[in-house]
Amino acid sequence: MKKKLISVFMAAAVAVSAFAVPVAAEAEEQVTLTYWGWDSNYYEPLIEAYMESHPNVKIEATATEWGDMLTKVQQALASGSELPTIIPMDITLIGNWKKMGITENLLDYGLDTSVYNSALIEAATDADGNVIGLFENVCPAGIAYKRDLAKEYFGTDDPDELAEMFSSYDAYVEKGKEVAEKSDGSVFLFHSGQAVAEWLYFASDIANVSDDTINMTDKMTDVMSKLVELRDAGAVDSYQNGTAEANATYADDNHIFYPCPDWALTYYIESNDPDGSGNWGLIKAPSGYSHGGTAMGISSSASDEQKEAAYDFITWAVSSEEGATVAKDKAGYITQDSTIATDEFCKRSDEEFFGGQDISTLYYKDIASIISIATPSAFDNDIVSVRNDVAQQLMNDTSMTLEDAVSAAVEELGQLVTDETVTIK
Amino acid sequence: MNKSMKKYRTTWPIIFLAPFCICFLLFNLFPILYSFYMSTLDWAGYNDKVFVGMKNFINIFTNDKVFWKSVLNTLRIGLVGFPVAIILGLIFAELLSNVKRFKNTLQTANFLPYITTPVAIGMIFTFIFEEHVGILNKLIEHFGGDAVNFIGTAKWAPLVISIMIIWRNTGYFMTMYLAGITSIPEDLYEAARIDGASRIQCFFKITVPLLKSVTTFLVITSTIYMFQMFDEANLLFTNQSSSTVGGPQQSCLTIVWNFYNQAFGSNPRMGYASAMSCVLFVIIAVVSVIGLRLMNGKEED
Repeated sequence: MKKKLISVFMAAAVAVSAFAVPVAAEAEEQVTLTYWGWDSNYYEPLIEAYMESHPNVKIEATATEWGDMLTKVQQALASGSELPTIIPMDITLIGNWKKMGITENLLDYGLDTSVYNSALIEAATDADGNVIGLFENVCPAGIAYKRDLAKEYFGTDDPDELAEMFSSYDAYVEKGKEVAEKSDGSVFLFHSGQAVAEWLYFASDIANVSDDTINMTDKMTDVMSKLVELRDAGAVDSYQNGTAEANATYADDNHIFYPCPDWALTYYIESNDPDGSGNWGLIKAPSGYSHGGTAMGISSSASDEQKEAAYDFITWAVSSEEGATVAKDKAGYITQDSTIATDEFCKRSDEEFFGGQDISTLYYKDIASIISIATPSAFDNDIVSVRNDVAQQLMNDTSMTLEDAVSAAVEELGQLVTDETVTIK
Repeated sequence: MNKSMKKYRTTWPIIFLAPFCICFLLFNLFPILYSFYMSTLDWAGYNDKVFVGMKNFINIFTNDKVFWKSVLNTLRIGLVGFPVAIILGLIFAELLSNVKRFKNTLQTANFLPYITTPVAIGMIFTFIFEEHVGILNKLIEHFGGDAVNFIGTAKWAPLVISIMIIWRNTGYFMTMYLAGITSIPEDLYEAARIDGASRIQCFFKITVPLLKSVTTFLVITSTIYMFQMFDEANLLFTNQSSSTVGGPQQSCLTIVWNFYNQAFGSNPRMGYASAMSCVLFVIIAVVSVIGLRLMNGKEED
């Protein structure tokens, strides 16, 4: 009896220790990651879903303004403060993040680049071949239009017919003139010269920098020549892009077209024109282009454990069925992982807003397959600032010529870029 | 002196003064001195520090057109905004000091802009001066004029910021003057009135001279505030889609905005920005001393 009792106690002890070991191990493996970001629509549901399926990982997110992200990290570095484990990097600033050299090379963690969009991988690759971040999604862009205005001024609201009608930049100029005449100058193709310049900038395949030379003249000539033609045709209004007043034009009857990356459907069109369901359509721009995008990188200053967990989170967000679905459902982002982004997966739920048009195929098959991205540089943010200013000057002063605009852009950039190692041409 | 008295006179003052002295050394003096040290470096904030001596200062004084442009912009905006705000503050204070009813309400209403957050002020001014839907342009169009792009052009944008300064600070200046007016003895006004002085004469001969110390304080603090101007201009021209550094043609690039862009822009130059802040420090110190001398000199005479 005594022996029996002892063996029962021993068995119980073994059983308890068998359960206790994994619990202790799990407690030891608890990892806390930090994330700074501006796009709460994306990161909040994603982090929540990840922590639910990965209880040993805790991710603490800090809301940071888009424009402050790089600055805050620079300040943290200068003051020796702790950096976030996961760093979202906007494509306009990715050249600067590369220059800072504070993020891990994702190839060291076994990233299989073959399944991702090659243009986006290239954009995130530095001069030494390190992939410093993984883009959250593809950002194919087209031109959205209001169906009622299209029908009134072009005789059709059919996307195929309109795509054929607007297959070149010259067509926009010609039709812009017609619309201006017909409406007595009250209706425009586009609401903002800055928005048009932004579209043309992303669509331009001229690299901003090559061999330590900023190709400002070539780049701005490419962008501003088309803007000047459109302006002179009376096709562009002079709203300052992104302001509340400019956003209100989405719901008015005076502006027909809006350059539109896929993320802008939720962020701009559907939010600014909530009653416009069914009245919107989408066509391809004369050249397929990509607009925007954010890559997630891992801070080199994190611990090995954190780095591993951060890599797992990033690849889970982009390359797992679960993460990609959350990103798609909650933020409207379509992953760049081709093994997940099947036709069925890419089907957007907001096509009714676009009159039932198959915008998913247009975005993720027709446009995404032909996009190219000009190599990012560390001066892109300065170039964008100058582009915005010069585009607005062109709209304010109709006597300003292309030559004036380009020389103003070169001069202004010269005042912003003080790096002696580069030449501005 | 007995021992306890000596201890009372030496130990306790040190204990009471220590928190301030320690905080001052840590949070004021050290950053200032460190900033001087940084101004001799070529440093982005994240790379190796390279000592360059006085090179940054030489660059500012010989090569940097943008720095001097930002100084001129700051002066242009401030010298239009602050004097008007001070004069309006004085006039409103004088008018309010004689008001019997709703004095507190009027005082609060005038002071409200001063406690409004800069972000809200930026939005309010965008709604007033915007080209297409701005209230001012609607008025201009109503009376047959053409809409003007006040915020988007280099010609008008600095003036919009000057108006913003006037709108924001007049109430504060008024409150300071009101406090000053209450300290002027009523006998002086009574005596003047008996001698047949009009209200305007009382204002210029009694109120204005006796408020000189308030005016001196406001001029000096406004001068310092002017050279440190950043929020007003920055908030008007910063949004995710169409941000520009310095507004249209950099016409609103103030010294501090320029400094901020150099220190924390996409290609930061902490060392150079520190040199800028040192030059700004000297400018503020010199202008403040000159201002004080000019205003107090006459008093001594």
